Amino acid sequence: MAKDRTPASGKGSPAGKGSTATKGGPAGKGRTRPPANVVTPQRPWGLIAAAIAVAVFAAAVLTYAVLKVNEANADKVESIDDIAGVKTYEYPAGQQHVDTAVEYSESPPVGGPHAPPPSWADCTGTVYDIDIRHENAVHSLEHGAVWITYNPDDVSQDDIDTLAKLVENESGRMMSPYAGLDSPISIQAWGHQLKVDSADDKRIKQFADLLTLNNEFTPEPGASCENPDFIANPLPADAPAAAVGTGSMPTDGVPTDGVPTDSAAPTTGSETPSN
Amino acid sequence: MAVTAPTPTRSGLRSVLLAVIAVGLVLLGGGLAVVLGIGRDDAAGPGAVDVGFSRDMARHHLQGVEMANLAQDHSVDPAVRGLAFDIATTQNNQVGRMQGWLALWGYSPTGGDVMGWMGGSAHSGHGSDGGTLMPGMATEEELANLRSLQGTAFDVEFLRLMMRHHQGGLEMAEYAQEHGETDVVRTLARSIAESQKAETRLMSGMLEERGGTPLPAP
Repeated sequence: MAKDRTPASGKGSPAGKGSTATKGGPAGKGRTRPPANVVTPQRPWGLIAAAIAVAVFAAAVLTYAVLKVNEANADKVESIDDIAGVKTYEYPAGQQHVDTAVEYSESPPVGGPHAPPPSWADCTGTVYDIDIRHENAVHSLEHGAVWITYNPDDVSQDDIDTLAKLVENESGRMMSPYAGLDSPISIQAWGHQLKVDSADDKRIKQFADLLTLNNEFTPEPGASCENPDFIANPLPADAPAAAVGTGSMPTDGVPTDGVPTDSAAPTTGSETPSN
Repeated sequence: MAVTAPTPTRSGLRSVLLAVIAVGLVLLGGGLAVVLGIGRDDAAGPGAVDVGFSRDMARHHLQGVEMANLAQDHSVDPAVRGLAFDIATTQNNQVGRMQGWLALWGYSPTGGDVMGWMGGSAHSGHGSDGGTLMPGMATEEELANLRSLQGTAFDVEFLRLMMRHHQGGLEMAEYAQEHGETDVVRTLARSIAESQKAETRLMSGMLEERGGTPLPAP
C-alpha cells in the first residue's frame, strides 16, 4: 500500500498503483479524467438477430402445426354431454325377446324387451308413414338404429321433409309418426332420447350423427338393419304380436318369374329363417 | 460512478440468447415434425379424406349389401346368387373394417359432410329425392321396384343397379387411393377400385347374356 501520493508518472508502473484510482485511466497517466465508459460493452447483435429469427420461425411453424392438427380434429365426435337435453336410460344388453306387447316406461321407448329376430323394423334409412309397432322398433334400436319420431298433429309436411333428409339413404336410421307423442319431435337411440320442438333444431342432426350405429352404446354392433318384409308390410303400433321375416318369399316357397308375390299376410314364426 | 464490470452482463445476455435459440430450434424441429407427419402412424392420424372415405364408403357398401341380400329370396340363378353372396359378405366385412378404424380414430360412424372430403369435385345429390344420394346409389323407388321382382326380372334389375353402384363407388375409391393419408385407407381403396372394376366387367357380361342393358353411368 502506497502512501505515496505523488503521481506515478515518473515511476512507470503500468498498473498505476498508488495513484488516484481512475477507472480505465491509461496506465501511467496521472491525470484525473472524468469517468467515462470508453469501452462500451459490445451487444452481441448477431446473436440477438439469430435468436429473434429462430423465435419467429418457431412460432410460425408451431402455429401452422396447431392449425393443421385442429383442422384434422374439427370433425371430432362430440360426446353426448355436448348435446343439451339428451336423457339417458340404463338398459343393459341381452333384453328379452317377446311376442307380446310391452309396456315401456318411456314413450317412445328406448330399450327393454322387444320383438324377436328377425322382425326388427327395417332401418336402412327408412321413412315410414305409419306409427310402426314399438316392440319391433326397439329391436332396431338394439342394432344401433337411430329412430326419429314425430307427432303428426304437431308438425307440418315441411318438417317431415326436413327430418326425412336426415334419414333417407343413411342405413342405421328410420323415422315414423308416433301417435300421442308429448313433444312435436323425439329422437331415440338405445338408452338415449332427445325431445325437441322444431324440425330445424340442430341437435337432431348432432344426435343422429353421433349415435347412429355408435360402437359405444349399441348393444349389438354390426347387426343388420335390413328387413325388406317389414318395409313391404310394416306392422302398425296396435298390431298383435307377429314375427315378420327377412325373406319375402310366400309360404309355398317358389318364386314365379317376374310376378310379384302377394305377401299381404305377415308370416308366422314357423317360417322364420335361421338367424 | 463506479460501473459494474461489463463482462459478466455481456456473457449473461449471451447465455440467454443462446438458450432462446436452442429452445427455438427444438420447437421448430418439433413443429416441423408435426406438420410433416413424421413419426405419426395410421392409428394416430387420419386426414379428412380417410375419415370421409371410411364413413361414406361404409354407407355406400351398406346399400350394396342390402341389394345383394335380396338375391337370397328373389333369385334362383346360381350365378347371380353366387355373385350376390360374394358382394354381400365382402362388402359387409369391409364396412366392419372402416367402422373399426373410425372407432379407433375417435369418429362416429355417421356424420360429417357427405362427399365433402372429395374436394371441389364432390358429386352429391344425384338422386331425385332430397337425401344425400352418393354416386351410383339406388333411390328408394328403385329399391322398392327391385324388391317387387323375382327370377330373371330380378336378376336383370339387380345387375343393372349393382353395376351402376360399383361405378359410383369407383370414383370414391380412386380418390381415396390417391389422397388418403393412412396406409390402411389407401390400401383398402385400391383393392376396392380394382375388384369392383373387375366385377363390373363380369356383370356387364352377365347382363348382356340375360338381354339387359346397363343403366347410364352415374
